[in-house]
Amino acid sequence: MTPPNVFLPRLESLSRGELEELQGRKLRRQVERLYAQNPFYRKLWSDAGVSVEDIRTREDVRRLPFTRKQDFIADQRAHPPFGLRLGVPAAEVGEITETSGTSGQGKEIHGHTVQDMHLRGQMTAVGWAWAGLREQDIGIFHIPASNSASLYTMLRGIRAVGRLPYLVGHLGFQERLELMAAVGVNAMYATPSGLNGMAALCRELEIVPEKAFPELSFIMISGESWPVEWALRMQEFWQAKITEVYGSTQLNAAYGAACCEAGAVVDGQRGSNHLFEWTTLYEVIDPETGEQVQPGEPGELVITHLDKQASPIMRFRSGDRVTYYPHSRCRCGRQLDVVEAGTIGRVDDMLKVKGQNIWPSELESLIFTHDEVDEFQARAYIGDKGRDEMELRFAVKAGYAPERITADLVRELKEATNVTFRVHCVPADSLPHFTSPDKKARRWTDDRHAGLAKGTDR
Amino acid sequence: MTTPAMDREEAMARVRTIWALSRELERSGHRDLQPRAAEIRSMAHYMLYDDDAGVEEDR
Repeated sequence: MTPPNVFLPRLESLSRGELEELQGRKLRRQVERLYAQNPFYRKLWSDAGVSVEDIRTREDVRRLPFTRKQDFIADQRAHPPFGLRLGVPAAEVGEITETSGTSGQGKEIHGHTVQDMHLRGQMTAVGWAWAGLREQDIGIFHIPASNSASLYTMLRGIRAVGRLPYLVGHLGFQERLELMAAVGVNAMYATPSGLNGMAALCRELEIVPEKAFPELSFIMISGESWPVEWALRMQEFWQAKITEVYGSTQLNAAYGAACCEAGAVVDGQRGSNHLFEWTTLYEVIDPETGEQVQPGEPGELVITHLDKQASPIMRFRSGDRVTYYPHSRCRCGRQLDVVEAGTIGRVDDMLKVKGQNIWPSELESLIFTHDEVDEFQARAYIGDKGRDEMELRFAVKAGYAPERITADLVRELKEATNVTFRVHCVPADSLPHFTSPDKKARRWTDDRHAGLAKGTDR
Repeated sequence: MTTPAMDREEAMARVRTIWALSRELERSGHRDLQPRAAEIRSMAHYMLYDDDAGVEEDR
């Protein structure tokens, strides 16, 4: 049976064998092109002893060496601004995207040719189409526009399927709700924490979404993990289906997977994000061994983009932790393999807070540059207004006054992460002193899921 | 839903023509035409994506 919201009728109906044959063919084509035109990959592969002739089938992707964020940053530093990895004349770059830079390693800058730009729109359109956007619909974007957020991607993606995209991410929540009520909304994209905060404000202002936004049919979320109970509560509150997508800067700053018509929760269980395997070859590996994991086991997603022209991505270790399953996990009939909805996280210690990447190890260095700081603990939690919050409790060494340090830490943490931390100085004996090797993990806690499971606003 | 004025095959043949012509314009050497020709070619490329998954040799 054909699913109702098909966007690419032929590609979405390919059998597994046809898909894998297509991937092998596109992989060969991309490797040939990059060997000829991209000095970064040519050197990387030559150094690894891999030649074009070694890549015959999709399985041969495993012969290619992994790439990592630090490889791209080093390349950019040596050959600014894009690095040799750009692989096309700079004059062909029509858009850029940047990573947030909060890793402390620097920002990746990705160039896009005009064709890459439309590829971004094409893949993003798939997610909106599957979720149920229709020709006359209005879709809105709750992320503030920047070179990191996928502004152009969203506009093109929504326009490829629906009628009118508009931006609200630059506004406060109350203004967003007012604009949505005035202009109308059929579908919207938000982070889970953003959606939660808006729900809390609606309750405070006694706004009933069903009355204020009667045409709202689905809400697309991504960027943060969530409990099933929360998604069910949000569906009930907003009277709209919750669906999920997965994307990243390294996926051409576009979607690389999306839930189908079934949405993010199916029969009370986590749904499935279908991987866009016509355009990307995915592997899921054990981050320690580099070996492929079994279905149902969490692993690190490795991305090989088969269509990207500028700043191509080949066998990139994303750092994203996913739980992978064969396509049969979903009943929609598409033979695209899936990753579980709501559990996409990080294999490293990165926290995603208010859409920003927070790298504890980097912030720890920042905090301890203040010699006066004796010890600290930090946590992410759900605040009174239903939004993600960060708290830092620190103690000072004997003889130091905390006031100036508190102000400095608030400012420095904000500059480093774009998130405002609630910073409190506490007595030294109220904090544990970490001396064991796992001290880093124990200084930072994420209480958000516990808060969500309790049935607070989020 | 309105009845299409041309069948699907004919419509897609037109898109292929647009793709080919815009590619020619993009390479025509007229710098004022090039950026928008590239946009048109790229849009056509993705209108054809379902047919050939972006493999231009199949077009």
